[in-house]
Amino acid sequence: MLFLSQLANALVIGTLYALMSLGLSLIFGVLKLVNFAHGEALMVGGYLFYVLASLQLPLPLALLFSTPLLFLFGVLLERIFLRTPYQRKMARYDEYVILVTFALGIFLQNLAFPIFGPYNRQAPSLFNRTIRLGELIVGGDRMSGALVSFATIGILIFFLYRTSLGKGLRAVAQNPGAASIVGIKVLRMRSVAFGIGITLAGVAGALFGPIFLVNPEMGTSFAVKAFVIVVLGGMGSVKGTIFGAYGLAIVESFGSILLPDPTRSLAYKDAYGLLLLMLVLLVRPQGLFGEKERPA
Amino acid sequence: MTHKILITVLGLLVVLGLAPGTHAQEVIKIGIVAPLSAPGGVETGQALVEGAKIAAEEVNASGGLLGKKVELVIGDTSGQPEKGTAVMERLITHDKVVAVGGEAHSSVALAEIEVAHRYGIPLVIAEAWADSITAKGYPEVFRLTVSNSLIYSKAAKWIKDAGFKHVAVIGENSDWGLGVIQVFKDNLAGAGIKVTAFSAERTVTDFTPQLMQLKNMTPPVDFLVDGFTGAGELLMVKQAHQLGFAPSKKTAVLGAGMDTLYPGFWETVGEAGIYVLSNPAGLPGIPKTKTSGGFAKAFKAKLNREPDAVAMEGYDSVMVLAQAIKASKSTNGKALIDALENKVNWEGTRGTIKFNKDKTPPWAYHMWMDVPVFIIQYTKANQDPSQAAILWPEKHATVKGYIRPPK
Amino acid sequence: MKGIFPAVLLIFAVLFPFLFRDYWLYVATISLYYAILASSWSMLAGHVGLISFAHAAFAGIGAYTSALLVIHQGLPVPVSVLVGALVAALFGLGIGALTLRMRGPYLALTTLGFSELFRISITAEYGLTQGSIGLKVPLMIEGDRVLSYYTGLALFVLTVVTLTGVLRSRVGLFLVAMREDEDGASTRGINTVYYRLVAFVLTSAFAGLAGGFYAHVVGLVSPQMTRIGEMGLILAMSVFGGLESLLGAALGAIILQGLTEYLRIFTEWRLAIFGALVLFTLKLAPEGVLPRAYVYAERLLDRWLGRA
Repeated sequence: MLFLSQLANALVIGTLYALMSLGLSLIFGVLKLVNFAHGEALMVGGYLFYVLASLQLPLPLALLFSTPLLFLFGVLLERIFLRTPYQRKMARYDEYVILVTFALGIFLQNLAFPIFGPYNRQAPSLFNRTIRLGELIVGGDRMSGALVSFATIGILIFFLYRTSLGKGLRAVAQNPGAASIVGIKVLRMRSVAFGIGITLAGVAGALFGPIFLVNPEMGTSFAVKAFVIVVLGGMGSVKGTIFGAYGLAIVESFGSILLPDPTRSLAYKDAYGLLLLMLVLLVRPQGLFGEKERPA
Repeated sequence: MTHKILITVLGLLVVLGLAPGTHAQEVIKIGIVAPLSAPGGVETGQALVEGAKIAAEEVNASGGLLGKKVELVIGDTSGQPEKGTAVMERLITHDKVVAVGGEAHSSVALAEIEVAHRYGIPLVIAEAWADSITAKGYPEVFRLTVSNSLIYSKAAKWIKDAGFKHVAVIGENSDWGLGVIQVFKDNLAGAGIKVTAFSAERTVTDFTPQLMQLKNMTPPVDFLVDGFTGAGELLMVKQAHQLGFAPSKKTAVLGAGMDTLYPGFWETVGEAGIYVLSNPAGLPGIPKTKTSGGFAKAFKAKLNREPDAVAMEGYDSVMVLAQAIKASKSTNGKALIDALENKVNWEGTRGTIKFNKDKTPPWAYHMWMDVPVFIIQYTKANQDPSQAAILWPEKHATVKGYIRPPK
Repeated sequence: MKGIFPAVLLIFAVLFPFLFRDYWLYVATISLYYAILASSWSMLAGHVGLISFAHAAFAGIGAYTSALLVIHQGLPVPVSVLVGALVAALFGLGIGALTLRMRGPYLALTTLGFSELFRISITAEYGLTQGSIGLKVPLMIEGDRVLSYYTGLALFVLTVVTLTGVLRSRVGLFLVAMREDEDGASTRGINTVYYRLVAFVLTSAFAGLAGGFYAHVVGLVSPQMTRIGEMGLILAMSVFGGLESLLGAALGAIILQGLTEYLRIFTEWRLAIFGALVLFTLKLAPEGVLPRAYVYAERLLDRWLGRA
C-alpha cells in the first residue's frame, strides 16, 4: 500500500513536472536554445496567479487570464532580446543566448524580491480537500494541479499535431531553411514558440504555487529539474519530455526512500536527477528520444 | 599616451570623491541582526526587529542614553551564516555600533559570536537556541531566550508524562535543528520511548514521501516533531495533515520552530493548524511585568496583533543593553560586558532578566535561566498564540492535558 | 603604451590601504576574490568561447580543500591554499575531459549539473563539512586586514599576468582559433584536445586559488559560495567589465562589488539593478560596458586635446 501511495504521489508530481518541462523542450526545439530563465518564467506565473486570485477573481478565471498575459510576456522577451541577434546572424549567437537568458533569469528573480517581498505566499488552490481512494491519499491541491496540467498538455499536443500553426512550429524545429521556403514565417514561429514555452512554465508555476508556496526563488530548483527532464527525454521531443518527467518524479520519490540512511537520502534527493543529467549528457546527449544534433 | 593617463587619473579622482566619509558620533548605535529575507525565517526576523524598534523609541522618548539618542542599525542576515559574519563586520567596523542584539537562527548566531568575540563587542542573542552559542564561553555573548537543552528537555519530559510512545523528529540541517534531534534522542531514548529521527536541508519543500513512510511505521508514530523553520515548518504540517497523519487522533505534532506563531502559519496550513502544539519562549502577560503591558499596547498599535515571544525578545535585548549602558555610564565593550554580567537586573516583558555567570552546564553561561517556557495547543483556526490553550507549565495551564483531535 | 593604464591602477591598488581602512579595506579584499574569478571566467567564456557554470564550484573546491587541510591536517595556510588550487585544477581537468565534445548549451548544462551536484554533496555531508551551517576556518596572517589585502592583490596580479601571458602566446592564438572554428582548427594540426584541457585546468586552478584565499579571509566556508546566484554574479561582472578583457572583467568585479556596498541604501533593488545592467550591456554593448566607456572616453579626450 505504501508503494502505491508513493507511486500515486510520483505520478501526480510528474504530471506537473511534464507541463513545466514541455515549455523548455519546445523552446529548444524551435529556437535551438536552452532557456536559462525558465525557472523564473515559472515564478512569474506563480505570482501572476497569486495576484489575480487575491483580486478576488474566481480561480479558474485567474488561471485563464494568466495565460494570454504570460504568452505576451514571452513574445516580448523574444522580440527584445533574442530576435535581433538571430536576424543579424550574430557571431557566437549560441553563447550570447546562454548569457542573456541566464541574466534575464537573475534579473527577474531579483526584481520579484523588492516588488513582492521575500515572504512565502499561499496562493489558493483550485481544490483543497484531500482525496482518498481507499487507502490512497493525495492532496487536493496536487491532484487538481495535475489534472489541469494533464488537460493543458493534451491541448498542447492537439495544437502541435492538428493545427497549422502547430505544424508550422514543428516544421521550423525540423528545418528552418526548408520551412521558410515553403512560406512559413520563421521569425514569427520563433516568437510564438518562445511565448508558448513561457506560458507553459508560467501555468506550471500557477499550479505549483498553492502546493509549495510562492516566493521569488521558487523557480530555481524546478528549473534544474526541467533541465534534467528535457535532457533525459531528448530536447525537442514531446514524448521524451513526458517520459523524462515521470521518470524523474519516480526516481525522486523512491530514491529518497530506498537509500538506507534517511538523512542522506533526503539530502541527496535533488542529486539523483543531476547525476542522471550528467550521465545522459556524457553518454547519450540527444537523450532517450531526441535526434542527434547534426553539425552545421 | 597623455590622454590615457588623464583618463586614469580622472577615473581615480571620481572614485576617491565617492568614498564615503565618516560622520561624528552624535548617537549611540546599537546593531540588530535578524533574518529579513529568504531562506531565513522572515516573519520571525520582522517580529524581532519590530520589538527592538519599539524599545529604541521608548528609550529615546525618555531622554536617550547618556544624553545621546539611540539609533538602531538593522542588518539582514537572511538565515545564512556567511551573511551573519559579513553583517557583523559591517556593523562593527563601518557603522561602529557599541553592541549588537538579535538573531533568530542558531547557525548564523554561531558565526556572529566569532566576530563579536574578535572585536570584544557584546552580543545579546534574542531567539537562537543552539546550546553551543553560549556553551562556547565567549564573554561577549549573552542570551535571553532558551537553549535547546533547556526547552526540549522540558518538552521531552512532558511528552513522556503525557504517555506518547513513539516520537518522530524531522529536523533541519542547522545547528538548531540538529540540536533538537539530539536533545530529544538524549532525553527520550532512556525512558523507553522510541525515537525515529532524520534531518533535511532547510530548503526542502516536499516532505510527503518521508511522511508517508512515517505514517506506515510499526510501532505507529504517535508524536511528530516538526524541527524546521520558515516555509518548511509550515509545509510539513500542511502535508502531514493532508496525508491524514498529523495532527490526527493517532498522532500529535509539535511545531518546534517559531513560525507557528505568525498569521502566515494559518495562511498556509489553514484548518490543519488546529491541534498543533507549539513551544514559545514567552507569552504576552504571563507573567505580567512592569513592561509587558506597555509593550503589548505599543506592539498592538503598530501591527494589529498581540506580541509574540520573538517580538518580546527583540524588545528585551535592546532594553537590556540600554540598562547596561546606563549602569556602566559608558559604551566601551568591556564595561558593557561587565555591566551585563553584574549590574543588569531588568524587569523585561517576560520576567526579570539577570544573566548567569556559572559554567555548569556549559550552555548555562550568560543565560537567563528563568526564561519562561510554554507548551501551547491551538484550539481554533486563525488563533493567536496568546489565545491558545496552555498545556504546560501546570501553574499557568488552562486545560488538563493534551487535547486529542476527534479524527 | 598600453601598460600605462594598468600601471596606474596598480599603484593606486598598492596605496589603497593607506587611504582606506577597516571596513572598506575588507570590502576591497573581498572584491579581489571576485576579480580573480571574473577575469579567469572571462578568459574561458570570452577568449576560448566556452561558457562554464562550474566556476563558482571550482572556487568552492579550493575553499573547502584548503579549509579541511588546515583544520584536520594542520597544514599551514599558504600550503593548503595551493593544494586547494591544485585540487580545483584536477577537477577542471576532469570536467574538461568529460566535456571535450561539448559546446554551447550542452556544456553549460553539464557544468551547471556538476556545480549543483557539488553543492548538494557539500551540504549533505555535514559530518565532514558542517553543511549549510558553515565550516569555521582559521584566518590567514591572524586576520591582519592589511596583509590579507596585499596577499589578495598579489594573487590577483599573478592571475592577470599569467593568463595574459598565456593569451599572448601561441597557446592563446590556438585557443581563439578553436573558439571560432574548432573543427577547422584541428584540421590545421592544432591539438584541440590538449588546449581545451589547458584552458579548463588553468582557469579552474585560479578559481580554486581564489576560493582558498577567500576562505581564510572570511573565516567561514559554506555551500553558499557555490550557488547559482554566485555564478550569476561572476557572469554579471565579466559581461559588464568585458568578456574579452581580463582586466576589464576584473575591474567589472571590483566596481560591482563596490557598488554593492555603496548601494546599500537601495538594498532590495540592488541586485535587480545589477541584472538590468547586464541585460543592458548584452543588448547595447555586448563587448562590455567598461571597454565601451574606455573607447568613448578616449574619443572625447582626443577631441578636447585636438587629436593628440
